[in-house]
Amino acid sequence: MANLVATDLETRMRLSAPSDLVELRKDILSRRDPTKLCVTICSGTGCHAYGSEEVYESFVSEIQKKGLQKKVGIRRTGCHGFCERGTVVVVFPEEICYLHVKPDDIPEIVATTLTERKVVERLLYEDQDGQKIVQEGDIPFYKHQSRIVFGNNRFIDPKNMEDYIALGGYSALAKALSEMTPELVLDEVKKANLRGRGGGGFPAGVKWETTRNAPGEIKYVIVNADEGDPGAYMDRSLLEGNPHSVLEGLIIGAYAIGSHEGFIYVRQEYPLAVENITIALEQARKYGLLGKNILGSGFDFDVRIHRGAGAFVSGESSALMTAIEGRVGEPRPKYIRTAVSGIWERPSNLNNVETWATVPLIINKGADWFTGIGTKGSKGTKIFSLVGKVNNTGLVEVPMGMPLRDIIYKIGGGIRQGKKFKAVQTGGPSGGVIPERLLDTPVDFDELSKMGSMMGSGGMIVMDDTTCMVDIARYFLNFLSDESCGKCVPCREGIHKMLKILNRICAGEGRKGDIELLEEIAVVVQTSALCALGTTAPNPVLSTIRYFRDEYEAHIHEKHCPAGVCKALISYYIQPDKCKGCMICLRNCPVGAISGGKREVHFIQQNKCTKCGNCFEVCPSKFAAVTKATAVQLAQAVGNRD
Amino acid sequence: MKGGKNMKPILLVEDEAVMRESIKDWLTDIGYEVETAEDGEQALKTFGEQEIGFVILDLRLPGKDGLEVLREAKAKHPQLKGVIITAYPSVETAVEAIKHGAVDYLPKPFDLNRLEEIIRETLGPVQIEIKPSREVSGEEVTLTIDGIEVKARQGMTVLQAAQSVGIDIPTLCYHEKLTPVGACRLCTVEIVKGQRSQLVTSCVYPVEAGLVVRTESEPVINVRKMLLAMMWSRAPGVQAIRDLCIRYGVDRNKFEVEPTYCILCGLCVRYCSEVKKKNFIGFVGRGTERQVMFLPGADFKECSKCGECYGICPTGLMPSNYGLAQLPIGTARECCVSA
Repeated sequence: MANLVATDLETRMRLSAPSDLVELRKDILSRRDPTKLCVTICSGTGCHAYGSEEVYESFVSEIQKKGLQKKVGIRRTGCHGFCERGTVVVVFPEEICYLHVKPDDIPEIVATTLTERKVVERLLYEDQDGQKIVQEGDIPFYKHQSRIVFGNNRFIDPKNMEDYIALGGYSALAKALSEMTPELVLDEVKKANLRGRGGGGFPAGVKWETTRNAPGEIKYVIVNADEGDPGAYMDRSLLEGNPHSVLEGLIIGAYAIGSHEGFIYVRQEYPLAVENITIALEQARKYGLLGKNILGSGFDFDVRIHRGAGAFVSGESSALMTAIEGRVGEPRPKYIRTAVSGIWERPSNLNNVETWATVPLIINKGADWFTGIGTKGSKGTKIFSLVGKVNNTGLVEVPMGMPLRDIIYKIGGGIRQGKKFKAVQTGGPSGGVIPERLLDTPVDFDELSKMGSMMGSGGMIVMDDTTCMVDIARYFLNFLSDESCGKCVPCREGIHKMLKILNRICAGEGRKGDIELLEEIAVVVQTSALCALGTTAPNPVLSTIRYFRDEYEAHIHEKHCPAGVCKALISYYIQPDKCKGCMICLRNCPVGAISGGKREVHFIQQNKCTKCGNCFEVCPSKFAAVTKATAVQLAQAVGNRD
Repeated sequence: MKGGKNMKPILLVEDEAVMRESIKDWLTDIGYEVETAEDGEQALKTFGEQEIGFVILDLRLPGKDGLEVLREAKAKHPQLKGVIITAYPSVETAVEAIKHGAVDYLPKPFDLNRLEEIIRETLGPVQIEIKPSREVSGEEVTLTIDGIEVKARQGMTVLQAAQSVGIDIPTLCYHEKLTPVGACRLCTVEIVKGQRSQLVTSCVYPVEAGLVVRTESEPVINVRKMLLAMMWSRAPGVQAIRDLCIRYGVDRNKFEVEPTYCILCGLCVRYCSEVKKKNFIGFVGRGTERQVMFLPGADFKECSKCGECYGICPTGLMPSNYGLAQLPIGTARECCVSA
């Protein structure tokens, strides 16, 4: 009997025509009251780490305690983007936005906002002039963005497909399947000039067409969710927060290409993304949006999830496909493109998460709408992961062509602690740095390449003047050296040799000719490595040399690290006239390198000092006697004393 | 690539695409001809259409299960031999499988070598043919290499075309019997298309009609010099690299020596896998940590009888690299003495 009911329910759920989807949406909306109070709690990865789960539970129990269950709805949503102010809570219908919400704040929110319908002032966003901002959309961080792809995250419980359908989800799929031929879908995407959001910026429509026209009955479509750049998490947040949008785009793409099997390659290290997309697939199958005869169109398509085993290089298309085949994820030569010969040598079309999620928008609103946003060569918006020494960190979506300065200052709120901007690194580990004087360049695929960096997947790391550019190049090369698969000589040995040179420069052992040698190796690696990891690996080195050559020269010739970062090139020094002999630094030195006594001027024995910086940190600011000095400054200081 | 002469194809019935393709790959690599089916219906249709020598059946299939398919197929083709594979093994199904005429029952995950053994016992060994690195079709194309007009067949690589007319492009990871992988990158050449020129790896770059190739242009030589200097720092003293360093005037002191001796060309790995069908050695680790190692399950007795990978190693240093010094001295060993 129970079985019968289940089967019956499943048949009822199955959408067998576009009109069924319209009916379902009507039915969902009829059960929802837009004026009803609803607490939404951001449950993306950032807020999750801040304890959004406890916040959710506190809301549930507090609302129950006050007997408000009928009057107030609660929803856990995908990532809102303003991750550093988590946990983010938004109360609908007024869209009151509370930041940094902790479980202890819940009773007050329930009593004030949910009962008396008043605002809890202390949890609101406060701008530089002390002005409180109530609505999420008015916060400067959000105000300057245009969140066409990412924006729905905040309305949707990613585990509930009804939320997606309520917002018009799958209507693009219905439109494509019932009103458009595969050729028309393809033409629309080509006309929109949608370029791949995963790094290279290759036109998605052209790639689709190649796969479509490639010989062979069986073709594959793949979602690349192997986002591995340090600090970048936009694909993660999209897949976690709005999995159905990615899936809808994938099904539309499969229809245009003539593919009946898809793969989602997602990192095992993204458990929530794996969980949410798995649920999304199950729901889509239940509703007949995956499987045989989708929406009665006669088109069959299904998807499998492949969990990545944690290698950065697996994000490269041919390596990813090799991994799906069950082999070690290593790139292979691509003179015959993967669109023609990919997984099991069959035509395989790979796009990243954000690219797929953009497709339904193009189908629904048309290519003309899409090309109205952005620059000449790069259309639409791009999601960036804005991190580093900037006041507002998080995920931001802006139209292509927005100047870097606007992203960093208007959205990011400028540099932390009023420090000076030095550079911004875009494009992940194999991207490059961009200096202050180029900040007004509009951000798009082509402009970033011209500046010696790249779009990559959209990482954006802001650096202030306490960052050493040689050290930054060293950091990224170190990452790439760990992540190179080691198959080809230029990447494996080239990165290693460049890293060795950078290490010695940072250690104060740089030699004359090192900069030129770095450049010479870089060019060879760029032109001869097997895959994009190798050919782009020299970018951090070349771009730092291009814009900050003087820093390299200072390290090599003067043994001086201008930013005071490279340990071998700095010393800690106590200014005798400022030291009050308080014993604080002396007690905190882990190696006993500081001599002196109570009310006696302290002195650091340089041969014992490990440059941990403890003394610098603990010296009371009213004395500020301990200073960090580069070799040059120390020589001057010592000279003066003599 | 087709299997041994007159050998009937194997039918693989498996609904899981990844499983299906990897078993198929494995068996076709060995030399068997493999047909596939995703479910019982499709399998029975295949039995009706062509003569199948051996069937591999997944137990759980959509629609008819593996046992039913085996029973129905056996009823029509009593000579048919087959094996049941399953991720849900139980004594009951194993007994059922044998009753239905399966020659064996393999719980997943199973060792593909074991599957190969069962098939070999039933069908006999395949005649191993060394496959050409890429399927070479009939069509002839003309390209220009270093000013010489070269006729080649579609599917050949630029390196093969150059070698066919005696143009010497250096390489340390290419072998005519093995799939080219483009690891050493020494065979980099410059190709010109209209106004644009590009560096490509000739051992994997397919010939095209009208292609203009320069094998010793300045950018090409710069790449080779740098790569050789890097390789020298890893394998100093190796004759093959020394010769190339001299040929291109490489400053061998460019980088300080960090010997690993193995240059990770992968010839031994591919030889063991593609020619010997053994996969006893493989790569472990990545980046500069990458090494060639014996893989778990390698049979040292068989290795000591074979030793053919020694002969193929461009550094000639295999024994010292892999601690195989105790192997008996044979022809293969002698070629390493030069080291």
